[in-house]
Amino acid sequence: MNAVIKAQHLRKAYKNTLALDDASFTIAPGRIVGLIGPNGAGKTTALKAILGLVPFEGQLDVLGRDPRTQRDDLMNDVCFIADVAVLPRWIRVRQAAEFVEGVHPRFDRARFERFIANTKLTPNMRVSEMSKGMIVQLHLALVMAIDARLLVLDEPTLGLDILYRREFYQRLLEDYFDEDKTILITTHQVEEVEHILTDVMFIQGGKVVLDAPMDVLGERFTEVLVNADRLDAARALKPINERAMPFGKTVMLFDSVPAETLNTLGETRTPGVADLFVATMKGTYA
Amino acid sequence: MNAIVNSPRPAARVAPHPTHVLKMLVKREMWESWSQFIRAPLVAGAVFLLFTIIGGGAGQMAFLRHTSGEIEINGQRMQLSQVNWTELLSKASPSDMAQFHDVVNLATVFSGVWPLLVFGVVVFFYLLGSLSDDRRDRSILFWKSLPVSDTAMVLSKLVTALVVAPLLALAAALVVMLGSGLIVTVLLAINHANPFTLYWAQLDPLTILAGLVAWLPGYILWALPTAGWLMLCSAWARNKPLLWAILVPCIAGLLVSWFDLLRIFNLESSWFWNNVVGRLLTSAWPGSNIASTIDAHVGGTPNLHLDLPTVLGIVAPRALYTSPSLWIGAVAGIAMIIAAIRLRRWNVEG
Repeated sequence: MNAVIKAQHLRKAYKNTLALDDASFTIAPGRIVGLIGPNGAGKTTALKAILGLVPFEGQLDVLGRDPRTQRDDLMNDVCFIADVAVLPRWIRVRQAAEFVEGVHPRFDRARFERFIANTKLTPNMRVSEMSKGMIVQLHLALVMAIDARLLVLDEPTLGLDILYRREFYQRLLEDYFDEDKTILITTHQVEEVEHILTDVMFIQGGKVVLDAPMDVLGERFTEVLVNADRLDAARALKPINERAMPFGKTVMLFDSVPAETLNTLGETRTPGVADLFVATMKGTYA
Repeated sequence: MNAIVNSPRPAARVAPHPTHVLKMLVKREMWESWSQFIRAPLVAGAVFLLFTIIGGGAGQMAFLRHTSGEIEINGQRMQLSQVNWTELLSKASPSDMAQFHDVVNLATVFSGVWPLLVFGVVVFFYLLGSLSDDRRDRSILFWKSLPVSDTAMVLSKLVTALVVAPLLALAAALVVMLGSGLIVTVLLAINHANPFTLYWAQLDPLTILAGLVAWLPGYILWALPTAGWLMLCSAWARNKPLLWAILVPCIAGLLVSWFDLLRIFNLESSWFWNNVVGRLLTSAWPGSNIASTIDAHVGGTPNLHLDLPTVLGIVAPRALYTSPSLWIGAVAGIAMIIAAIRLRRWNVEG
């Protein structure tokens, strides 16, 4: 099947910084991709380019359309939540549903009502009367009732408590995602999304530095709890990161080293995305 | 109904018709701004009516106290309650009758002025915030996540400001006129006069209605440069669009005045103030076109007879449609609206 997003040599320069620097990537349908990077790495710019919200250089194909020139058409198939709590403060739940139903050909009102039924939201409630978590619930219900092919989420749960955050991703996975849909997420809370991701993409300094499916990640990277006496042998295998632990042990992260070699060094395990992220982004703020 | 809800969802409905989307967008504008557009003109009218009642009541009291209910008609003093109005009217000369007719109708028309004046203020600030408020509170990120073009978005705001809102203001004006008619009715009835022969029979409601409706197209065209300029500032300015909207034309005007730049074209600086600064800032005010066309309409008639058709003719002058200022301004306004749509395309943040 065709790629949902195909980006080649994306470049976007702001006054003093290069937000996207020759970034190329491809996203296939039916994936949940985490776009992960430190602050100012170009995540939001990449998403805005995909959504046709900023001009840029390079080639970008989103669902067969160029977001710079065919945005109006593209938005029939793409949905996004950019930042938390951007719903207008004056709007009521009922009005928000009526409006989206009126302008979006793929909005299903009955589905929306079902999602809302499980929350404390009532039809006459205004956004200004809601907590941040409730605003996100409303926004998510609106978005999930739209049968879009690509959903883009930019820090959708920033500032929410853990209950709302968990519920948000749970909902997305249970009630929304299927093999015809693609979800692209950026977030700093890597630990919370990693179990739902099928792919990760690390971005640093405007470049894509790692782009791999989760299962490949597990095969490629191994974390070893190295015993003190095997330190030199382990270092000879060029770990991409090492950090000291209490009681004289050291945790090292290896990229593409065979498991049988590593097993002799100490206890091995599959690293979390957060550990990989930290290792990859070493020296970003230095 | 249930069958539809429960049946498997079609892949996509047909895309909503553009006019349907526009209607939805205008509805959205009204949800957000209904209290400015409906409540403000009505409140202004209600305040006017309240003062009319207080004034009428005070007049009534003063009249009763100082004249013991007697008035003088054609040199005869008589008790007000004993005046035979029907007979008086039938004996009145045609010119007196015509004058009386004008007083009744014009008083009624002028009682509807307040809602329109308030509307003028409301629409100015509405236009100024139309393309910047949603950038400031970032809700533009929600609006832009839906398949609505920037053109449709901007046009819906323009239609709201120049068609829907003035119609609502006119409706409010009519309500206030009706209210003032009722107050007059009550005052007449208290004084044992027949409100029907003295007021309602004299009224030309259809002429008034037609005059007000005729005012609208001229108003829309005349207001375009101000609407365009305010929307352009709103789409462009990061914050404080009001400052930009006022300062840019005023500073331009001052420069023109100081250096007498228009000498090249044999024009006074006041030309610039009237035709550029004034048209950019004040043309959305109902009646702002009167100054420019009043000369053409009533110039050279010092003893102007102010009757209803004349006044309505001043409010909605035919001469307006032959004035270059109207059409050049409208074209400039449309150009600025197009520029605002283009700015809106990429100006997403704050």
